[in-house]
Amino acid sequence: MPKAGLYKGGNMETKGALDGIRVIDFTRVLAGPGAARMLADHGAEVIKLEIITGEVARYVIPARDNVIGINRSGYYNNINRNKLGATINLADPRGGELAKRLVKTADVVVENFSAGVMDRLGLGYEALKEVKPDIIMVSMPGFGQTGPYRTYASYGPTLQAVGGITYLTAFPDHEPAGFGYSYSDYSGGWPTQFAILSALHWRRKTGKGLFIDVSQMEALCALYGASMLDYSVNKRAAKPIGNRLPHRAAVPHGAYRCKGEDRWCVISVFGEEEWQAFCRALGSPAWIKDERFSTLLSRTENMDELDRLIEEWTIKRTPERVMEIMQRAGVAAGVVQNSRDLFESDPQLKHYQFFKEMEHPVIGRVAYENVPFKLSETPGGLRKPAPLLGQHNDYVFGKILGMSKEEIAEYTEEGVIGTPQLD
Amino acid sequence: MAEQINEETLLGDLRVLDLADEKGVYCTKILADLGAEVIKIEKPGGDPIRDNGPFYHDIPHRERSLYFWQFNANKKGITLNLETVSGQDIFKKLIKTADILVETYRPGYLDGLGLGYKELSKINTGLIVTSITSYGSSGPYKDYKGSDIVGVAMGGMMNVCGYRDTPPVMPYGEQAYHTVSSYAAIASLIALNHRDATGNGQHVDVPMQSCVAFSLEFANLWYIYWGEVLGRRGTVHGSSGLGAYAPNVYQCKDGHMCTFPGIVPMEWIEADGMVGDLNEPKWQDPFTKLSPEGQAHVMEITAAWMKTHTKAELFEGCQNMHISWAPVNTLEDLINDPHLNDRGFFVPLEHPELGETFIYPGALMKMKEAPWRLRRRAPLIGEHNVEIYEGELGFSKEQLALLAEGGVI
Repeated sequence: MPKAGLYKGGNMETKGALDGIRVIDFTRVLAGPGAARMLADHGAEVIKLEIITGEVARYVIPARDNVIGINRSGYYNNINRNKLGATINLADPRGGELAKRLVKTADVVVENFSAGVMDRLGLGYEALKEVKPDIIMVSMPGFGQTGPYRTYASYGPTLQAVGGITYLTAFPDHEPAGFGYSYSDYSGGWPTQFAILSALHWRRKTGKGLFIDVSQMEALCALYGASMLDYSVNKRAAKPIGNRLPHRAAVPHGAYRCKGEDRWCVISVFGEEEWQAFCRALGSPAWIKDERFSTLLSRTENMDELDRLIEEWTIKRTPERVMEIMQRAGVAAGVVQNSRDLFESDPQLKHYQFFKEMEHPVIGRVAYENVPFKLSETPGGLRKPAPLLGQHNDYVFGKILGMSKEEIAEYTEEGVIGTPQLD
Repeated sequence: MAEQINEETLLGDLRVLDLADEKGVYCTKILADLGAEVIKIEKPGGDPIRDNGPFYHDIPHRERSLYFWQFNANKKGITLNLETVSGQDIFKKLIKTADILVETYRPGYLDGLGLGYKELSKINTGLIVTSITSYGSSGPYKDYKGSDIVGVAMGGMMNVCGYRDTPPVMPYGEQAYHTVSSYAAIASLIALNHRDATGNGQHVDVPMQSCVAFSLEFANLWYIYWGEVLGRRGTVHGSSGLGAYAPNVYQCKDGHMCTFPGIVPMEWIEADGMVGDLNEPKWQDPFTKLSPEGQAHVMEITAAWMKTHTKAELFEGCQNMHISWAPVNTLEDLINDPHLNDRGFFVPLEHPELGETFIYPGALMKMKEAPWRLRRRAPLIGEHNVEIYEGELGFSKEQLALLAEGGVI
């Protein structure tokens, strides 16, 4: 067990806003575990239930020292910090029964199996409601509980494709690009967090729990601003637009190549006043007075040429320098930062202690992504690394469920409960 | 007061004051959709967001910005000039009955008006003030300007989007704004739970940059654990690791399809007579077919076969074989998607002043006991001035006329 207070900067003493709330987390990989992590970061006791061999994220890269091991995945560690972990075989009816007894002591259940799986395990909402009438339960698979795709499987890239953002995130006349990672696992986890936190408030008022059906596909489809209304009202279907903003007086608006290997700075200029500031920041070169750029409309027509001329200026400067010159003139500009920039040099993220280290019993001292916002009274934060496989079996089955040592040993022997693996 | 909706929505007993621009307008929309009474406070003459296109029938009009409609449905609207002493006085009256204030001004602006968290919490100790900024309320970049594209750039998202031989590409649909708004709603609701337990409000400081940087899956972890930067690799996914792995996305008969490289419907390809050498035993081995070289070979043969099938055929066919491929849907595909339509994702909403009904994207979640609903279209400029100022704060019609003439409302 990691010792309390061993790690620098943890918030062991801080009262979390969700202290006293118990969450049973049946989810795997990222969308569900990420949502439950937010609750854990703010004090909820999140008990992660895994199959006895450990969930798939334990094998996801990157691993510490590139050695794959059940307790070595940085992916699992970052997403499941602050949680307790227990291993259980839900396919065995006795395992399902234990899970149900745990739910009886809990406030919230989160799961992301495809529709119907929890019911087949005897752990559907109706069954759980019987043991805990005011339970708040969120089911959040890719496609939700109803509809023709409800049993379909998905992972980040396919969800982003079916949800439209892969097609829309691209340059015109170029292959679709989308994201190089699973943004949809974050967007898919947000409604789960909205729902749980609102439902806890509602339960306090009404005494009632409820079932919440989240579809990660829909969670993504809700993020296109006015595009769907534009279709409904103006019969116009959004197309890929690269780095430009259609329907907005935003010229220039793009990413410009700067000095260095694959270094870029984005610049966005809205309206006339900012354009004047932008011209001054560039040092008012002769070309900028050209009639091709003198009005908003002419600039819009000649955006390609404008972008080319801007890049002639940016390419001579580092992106940090371009940002500084632009910001000093009052123009919104920012370095296209990679994770080295974020981790090593960004002074703002440092100021917010965005990366913070904790000691992990197997992989040692390592940085985590900290809570991304600051609550003045209940900041939450990093308390402990992710659980080792079955690390809290004794606590969960012994202390919470009151099973005797002999009983736990018997269940472990028979494969209903997993054998903890603490190295 | 609010119509009788409290019992059916999760947040129906809450009042939220909305002083948010594009960064935060989705945050208050989330709260409104969950049932909170959100009062959008606009400058006299209307919020600047009303100038954002696209517009109804492409004719610019402050009551017909689709951007404004989308993000302000379910809210009420009043006008108030916070830069006047009278306006500040009225604002303080509104604070007395508010639960959450969401604001997106530059750091220090509200403090300068005497309306910062410190002052407001003296009026209402339970008040939660959520400040959404580009970089945070403090720190070396706090006064830097931001925008959506700057948010995705500075937060590290844009660096992982696009191809090696193109510039980084901005995620479509203002994803930095959606990201920070989502975390601002989450943070506000966490603070609400604390208030429910203790009666105390607090200040919530939500920087766009760190919210984006929090949502990068592998990117930061590659650097923390490996010292490697995850860059633009087209549709190669971060889960593949370092190396020349195959992309996810391929052309098919009528568009593009997203695959799981290496995991392909072998029997189907074989039945179509296009399997090449993939039926050799070595391609049964997962390590062989998932290695970079294996993926390249499997996907070369598979890509040729995919061109003979449509997105719909490949989607249904593969999913029935438990292979989790999916179509690269266009916006039109989404509007016509049988699953979204079966689930009732698209919701009609009436605009009585136009005598028309439009289709909005709908629920983020389905809840029988407390249904998500679109209750009303976005407010017209000052639509609820009379309800709030006269009905609730007790101003007379004459007083309201004076305040309007004085540029306060």
